[in-house]
Amino acid sequence: MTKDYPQELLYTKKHLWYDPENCWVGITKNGQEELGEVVYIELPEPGEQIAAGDTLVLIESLKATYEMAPPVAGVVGEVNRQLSSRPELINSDPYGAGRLVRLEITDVDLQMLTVQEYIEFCCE
Amino acid sequence: MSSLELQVIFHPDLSPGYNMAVDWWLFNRVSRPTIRFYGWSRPALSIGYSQQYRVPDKLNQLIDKFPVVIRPTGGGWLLHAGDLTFSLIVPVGHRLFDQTIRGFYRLIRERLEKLLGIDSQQPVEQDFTGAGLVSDCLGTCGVHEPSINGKKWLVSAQLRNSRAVIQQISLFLDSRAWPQTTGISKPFFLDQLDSRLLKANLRAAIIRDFQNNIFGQTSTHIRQFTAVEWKQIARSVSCFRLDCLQDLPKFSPRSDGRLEI
Repeated sequence: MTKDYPQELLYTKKHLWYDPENCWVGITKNGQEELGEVVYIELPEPGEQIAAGDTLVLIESLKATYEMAPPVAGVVGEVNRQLSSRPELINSDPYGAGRLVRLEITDVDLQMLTVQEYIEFCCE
Repeated sequence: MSSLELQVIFHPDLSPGYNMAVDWWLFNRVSRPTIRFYGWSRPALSIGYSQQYRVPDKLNQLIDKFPVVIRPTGGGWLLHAGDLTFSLIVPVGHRLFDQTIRGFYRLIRERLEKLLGIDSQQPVEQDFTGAGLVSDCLGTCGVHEPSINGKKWLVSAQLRNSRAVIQQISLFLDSRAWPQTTGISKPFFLDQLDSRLLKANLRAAIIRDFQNNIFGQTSTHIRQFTAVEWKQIARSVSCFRLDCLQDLPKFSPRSDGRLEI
């Protein structure tokens, strides 16, 4: 199972991953499986300030619309525009071409899960 | 009102835009687990949130026949005629809020099957279809949307954010209300079953069953909107009406200031 969740990333209980090296944020493999086929996404604009709990992206899958919120506040950097025309990349390559945005985190307290903690959370 | 009470809302049939505006208001404002039953003042089509950006061809053919309303939830388009519609709203903090998306669907399907005594066929999870933006709810096979003889009898769709989850649900009860000339795939109507629960008793049975087995609340509280609340709801009605297919975008939870109610 660990191969589905890269060791170098941090995770949230809402199935987002965060790369502390380059600040990219995405949806975990488990998260995209839970959503099902993603058909639409609304992305934020670069420079937008996102408070913890605010909507970062709005994702619609075949059955659910999900306003995904980061667990920490940050400023949106780069945005993966490719997803607007190819939202299915979130399903097929959640850690690569399906990543969402770069979020320059402004919170000090990250409170995210390690890969082991996330896997244990998913198995609960 | 006690935190152990399930909030129950009934009101007279509303226009399509009002129906969605009430759900939107509840999704944004409600702090108690809530079940809301509602009816449609006339047959109407509801479309999934993102379908406002790519209007399905079939919908273009139907736009003159029925009013069209945008659901805040996802999924394909659906004709509301002879269905019992209700919504479940769960605020953050309630144990049901932590239920997964699929878990929510499974709970609702299992309770309704048990309540109605239905042994329905489970949908097979389809591979990626790419049809999400153009699909007809009744013509596609979703997870935990059971069918009888290949026809759905239960359709539902969900919206969630960090504060609440709302699930909009349709049960097809009265086949006489289904328009004959639309060419829209017809659901399985529960009036084809000899169920003692149908119609008058069904709503009460759902409340009782969901109160105990889904929400886990000890009692119910009938909630009525105040005049001020109806005014707040009225402000967003126009955002949900798809009056003109070219006039896009209509509704965006992220950016539409009119919806900050």
